[in-house]
Amino acid sequence: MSENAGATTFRVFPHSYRMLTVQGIYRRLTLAILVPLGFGIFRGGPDALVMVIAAVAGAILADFLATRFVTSVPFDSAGFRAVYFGLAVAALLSPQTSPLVAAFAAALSVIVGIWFFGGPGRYRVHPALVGPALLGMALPGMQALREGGTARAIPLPAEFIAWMEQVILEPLGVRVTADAWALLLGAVGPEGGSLVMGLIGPILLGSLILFGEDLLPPVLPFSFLLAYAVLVRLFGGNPLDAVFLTNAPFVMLFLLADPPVRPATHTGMALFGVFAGALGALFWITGEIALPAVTALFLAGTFVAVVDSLTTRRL
Amino acid sequence: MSLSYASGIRPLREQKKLERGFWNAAVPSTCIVPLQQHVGSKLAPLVQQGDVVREGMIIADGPGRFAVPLHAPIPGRVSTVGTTRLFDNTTSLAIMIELAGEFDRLGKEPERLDWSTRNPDELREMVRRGGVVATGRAPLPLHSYLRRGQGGVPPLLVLDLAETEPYLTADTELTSTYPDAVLEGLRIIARILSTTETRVLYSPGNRSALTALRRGMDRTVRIHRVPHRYPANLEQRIRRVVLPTRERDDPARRVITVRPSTAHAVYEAVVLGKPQIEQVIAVGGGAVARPAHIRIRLGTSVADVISECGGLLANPARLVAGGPLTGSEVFNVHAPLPKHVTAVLALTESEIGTAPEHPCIRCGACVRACPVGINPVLIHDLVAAGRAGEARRAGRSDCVECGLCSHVCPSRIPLVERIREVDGE
Ligand code: SF4
Ligand code: SF4
Repeated sequence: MSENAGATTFRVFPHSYRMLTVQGIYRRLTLAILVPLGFGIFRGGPDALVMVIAAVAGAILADFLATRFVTSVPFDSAGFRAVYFGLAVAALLSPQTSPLVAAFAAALSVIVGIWFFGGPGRYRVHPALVGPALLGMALPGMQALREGGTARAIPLPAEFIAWMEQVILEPLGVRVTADAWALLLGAVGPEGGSLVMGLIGPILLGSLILFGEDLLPPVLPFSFLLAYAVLVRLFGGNPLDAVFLTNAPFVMLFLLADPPVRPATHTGMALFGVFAGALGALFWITGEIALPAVTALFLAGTFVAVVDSLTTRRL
Repeated sequence: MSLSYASGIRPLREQKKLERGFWNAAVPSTCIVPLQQHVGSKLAPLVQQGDVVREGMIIADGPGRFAVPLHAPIPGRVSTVGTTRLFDNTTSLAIMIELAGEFDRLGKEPERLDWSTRNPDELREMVRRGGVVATGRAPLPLHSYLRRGQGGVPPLLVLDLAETEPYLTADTELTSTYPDAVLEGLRIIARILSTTETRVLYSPGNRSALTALRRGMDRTVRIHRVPHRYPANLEQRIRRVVLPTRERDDPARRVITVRPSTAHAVYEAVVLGKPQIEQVIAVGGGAVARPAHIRIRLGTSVADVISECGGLLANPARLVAGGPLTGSEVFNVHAPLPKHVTAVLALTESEIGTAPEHPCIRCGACVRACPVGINPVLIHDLVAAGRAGEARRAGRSDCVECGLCSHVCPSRIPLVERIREVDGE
């Protein structure tokens, strides 16, 4: 009879995974981004709808062709990745942008922004910023990003607005400018504005999906917003205008919710948020850059690798 | 090493609620007692085929310092002494007992021992003879674990109620039902360690156990609350909570941590003279008809455990012994559970959430989740590139194999397995 028992080895491996898969992330991002986009389309009218459809179609077609001919990764129709990028591109364009230009910008975003770098996870700058930026450089007269459009109002009773001002805002010492009110309520599309610019309510509504599904660590948008608003205030600007008259709320929520474009750790995200917010504030104050928040995010994105190397454990 | 409670995760997955309390499961007609119940001990059987054994009689023991005797969980006749396949498909020498004869303890009022007159070494030997194995992440013979705390400056004794892995709720139920026994077991351990410093660690998820304990607790016992984030009870984290800053990194300042089931087993072994032949376990998962807690005899097969809870509603996608993050997959349902395992889970496909492996998308979820501040994806990349030496320098030795990095990975990359490959190179 053997004296020794046989050794027991215990395999360690998780038997349960968080619900989110890569596909799940892009499906939820798509769902979330559709909320402000829906309001943007309502405000922008049929032209806006056609432009959004064209952008999404361009992104899907580009993703299909890229996965078919450029990479060995299979085309993932269920993953909604291309749909999300198409919608993100459309959200940053003016409602009056020609559908062809929108489709081309979205296709460029997917091919250059994603697959040129090797696929999801390999890029640092958000692909939705790449296509329109390239197009803007190639066709400077296009003005897709700067031309504002006529818009329809989303009616809200004037009494309600007056009540808000009297009961909530005035006691707090907050004064919302008439322009900001008009934008906030979707009454007009801002001059030089994008499809979703100023739609704070719908943007916040859509962001509930992002936070509820744990897609975006709150530290990132909060540090961005804090740095952005505080610096604008310090330089003598109006933080409310700086928020309502730019794409800041949209980009800091819906673009930064795409996991590869942000740093890995919470500390890194806070640093990145402050950096991007400060850049955005600087651009807003100088007035030299037409799209302060978008440009700030574009430039800050190139520093993600540096932030990561400072805040994650290295060899 | 980053050990703040900001890392780790809130358990995100919905766990199907288990019934509160527990009941005694039916005594099985056959018990299989593997001789290997924990890491490192070597035992030899003391009985042969055909021997008659009484309930609680020692049936295997060994000479080594880490050896813990095994006891007959049921009275009966030894039908086989031979090799058996364990639940995880490994093999071990085991003793099979067929139920027969009378129970010595069942339904009888046990005599109580006044342990206050016994010295620490005597008490530790009683713990050894009682076959007590410390439950928790690293199963160890309790008597040898307690030896670490003897001599020198008395250690700090911590009762760890803060189990935050989903489904590992058996200790909470045991403590809520027998708070006085758990506290008395804790006092015995404190005496073995000659310490007067005792702490209780809890998380909001097991407040009911704390409420039950509080009634009988001395005022000198300090209570520490930790967030309900998994993993709450890593040794380094516990040190951060219970020790002042200047003592945290002092190796001479020892902290001995025990789980409530271990304290309860000590109480039974010392006060009632009852060896560790029973355990309270959680039986859960979406495929179980009646998710609940039950008290089973050691040697009860996984299949019997599940039938005690009404059987299965559907074919489970995976059977797990232990928690969903750190447990082991069950391959043989006719095998029994080891002493330290406190849960059996029959998980459905939707509870597991598997998906095909994708390339890493650099989302950083694994980095944020890692409780010891490793960069799991960096180690993964280094292993994939065949650079094991660098992977070791990147922190492989700090990994506590909590499984969190794999759990949160949306690309479903088996990071823990890959990290373990560093050792295999
Ligand atoms: S298994 Fe290791 S690397 Fe992964 S999260 Fe846990 S400690 Fe970190
Ligand atoms: S969690 Fe998975 S996908 Fe995300 S960075 Fe880590 S390994 Fe890559």
